[in-house]
Amino acid sequence: MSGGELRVGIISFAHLHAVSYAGCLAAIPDARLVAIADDDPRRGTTMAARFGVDYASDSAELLARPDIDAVIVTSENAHHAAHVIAAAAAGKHVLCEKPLATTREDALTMIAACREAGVVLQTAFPMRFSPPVIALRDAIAAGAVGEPLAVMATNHGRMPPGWFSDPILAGGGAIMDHTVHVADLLRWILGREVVSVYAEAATRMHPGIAVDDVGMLLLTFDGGLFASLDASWSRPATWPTWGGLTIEVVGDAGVIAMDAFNQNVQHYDDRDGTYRLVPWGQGGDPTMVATFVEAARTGSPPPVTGEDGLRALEVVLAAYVSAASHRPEPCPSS
Amino acid sequence: MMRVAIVGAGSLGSVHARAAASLPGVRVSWVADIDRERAADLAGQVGASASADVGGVLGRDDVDAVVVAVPTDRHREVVELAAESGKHVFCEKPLALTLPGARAMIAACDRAGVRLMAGQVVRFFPEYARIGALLREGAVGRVATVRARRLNVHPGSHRSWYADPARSGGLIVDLMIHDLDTLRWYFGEAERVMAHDLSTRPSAGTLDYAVATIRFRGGEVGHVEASWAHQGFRTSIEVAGDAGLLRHDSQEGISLRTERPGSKGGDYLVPISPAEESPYRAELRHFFDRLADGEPFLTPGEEAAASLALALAVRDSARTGQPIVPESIVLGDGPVVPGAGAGSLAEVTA
Repeated sequence: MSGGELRVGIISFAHLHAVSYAGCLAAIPDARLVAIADDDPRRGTTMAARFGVDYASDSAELLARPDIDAVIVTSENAHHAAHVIAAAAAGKHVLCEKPLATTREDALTMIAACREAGVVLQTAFPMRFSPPVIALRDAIAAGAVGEPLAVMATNHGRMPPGWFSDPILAGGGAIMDHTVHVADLLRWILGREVVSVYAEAATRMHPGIAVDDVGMLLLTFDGGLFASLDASWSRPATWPTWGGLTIEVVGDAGVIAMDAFNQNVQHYDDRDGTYRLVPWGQGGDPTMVATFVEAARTGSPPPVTGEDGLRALEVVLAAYVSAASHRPEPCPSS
Repeated sequence: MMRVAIVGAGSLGSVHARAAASLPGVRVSWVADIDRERAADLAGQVGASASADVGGVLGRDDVDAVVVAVPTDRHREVVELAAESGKHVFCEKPLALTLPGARAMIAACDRAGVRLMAGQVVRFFPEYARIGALLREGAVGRVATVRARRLNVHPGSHRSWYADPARSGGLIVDLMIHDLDTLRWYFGEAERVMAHDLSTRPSAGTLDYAVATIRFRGGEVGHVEASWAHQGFRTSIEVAGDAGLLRHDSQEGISLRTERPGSKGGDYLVPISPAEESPYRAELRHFFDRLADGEPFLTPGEEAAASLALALAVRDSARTGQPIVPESIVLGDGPVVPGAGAGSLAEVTA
């Protein structure tokens, strides 16, 4: 590390969260984005120019640079494993976009590679740093609704463009894209693990795609608590925002409901004939990136680990097994 | 002039009595309740005679039809008695606690040549009827998901029999059945259900909350919740399709709100729609209009029995922890009603 400043590379802008993360890095005094690798030269050079950093056509070229301490992996889901394992071999700390991987084997190998290399592996779950989510966790911890008994959660959105509906590159559809956020949050908020998963999956919003765009999950946690999660890409194009994430907890002493993205100004815009919700909340990305920078700089454990990414992925994989078997499936599924 | 007897002078019996009394061509001739004082009080409000002798009232010549609003576990005996007395029957939901019970009631009315309508009132709520009409027009294209919620306070604080599953059927059969019936109306029969219910968890105490996923035969995926764990009454529904989305939330669509110091908010069992006609009046008007013209009811006994079958499947799934498949929903020991739901989205006759 040069002068205490963390020098960061970003591997791929396939996932557009990379744009947000690059912006977050720019606002952190102890971190500096120095290079972008992308196998799409047009995208890579555009982003390198936008952020004023070097461009590498090959991630190996970026990872070979001794002046880079850490990388953010925002490639297609199926490519996370190769990129994270190579980064660990090069001794770089890693912040990996969710889902951590598309298979359990990949996730286990990634975790082992980072552990053996002695580098930080943090799974990018920005919702852990969302102020309404933190307020929900604090309220439940303070006993606001007594003992949690049941949960209703939604993580709705529109279908993202491009590879998100490619079964190989994405590893699944809406269930793969959206389940991990809520699965991770519920593990964190409740302090319990998912023991079984039932899921209904369907492709109905976007005829012709090869992945699910409807995902309705029922989760059972240790201790018997149950939760439902609607992970569907079911927001229409005319919906005034991209989607959202809600969690409602029924406890033995009350009910608490959290709507993480219900922090908007309503904009009725005659200039282009649209109605939009314009967020005023900053979201979790800045804090998440800052925690990664801190963990990588100091060697302290990251607040969200590779194991957390694995646990959330296991819920997804059990959901896909259940969607085919029409039975509740154990988690992790064998 | 149709002369109707109201049997059961509780909260819904009172609603039905006042609604019936307001209908042209209908007169409430009798109110019967085992609690004579309660019967007399309600009878006085609608200009009817009162009796504590239900059987006696059902046998009277000045009664043409009967509205049954007694606790659910008493529906069957009152409906069968009414049928044997040759009276047409409007029976509150859920029609019965068991499928054999529902079938017996339907058979009794058939044998007696009287007609049976069930009070699946949500089909008469204008917001739910409007959504049905929009779906029929294809307003959201191909439906992908439907989410329906029905949240209420625990009924134990109002009428203890609701809280007794042996009398009301419990949360799913008593409350969730509203949305199960509505979704059958919209989408037809279910292929598979999976559910969880807090009442199966000893730790829940007296609270109850249940959630079900429903895969319909047409491929739609449903998410239905019912709660006796919330404060106040609230319903919502959202239907998402490949060409749009419809939603209604009773907490957002509020056109009249009163706030008073020290008042308890929303602590009531029967929702009030500040509309031109209450859904409870609309369903009774439908009952008498269809008796008059002989056309089918929107919610005949067979439809209510099919919705009960779905509710029982949801309850069984929650109890067993396993999904319940269609054969066991509809067939049982014989079809509840062949082709039930085939005529889904039938018009609410105005």
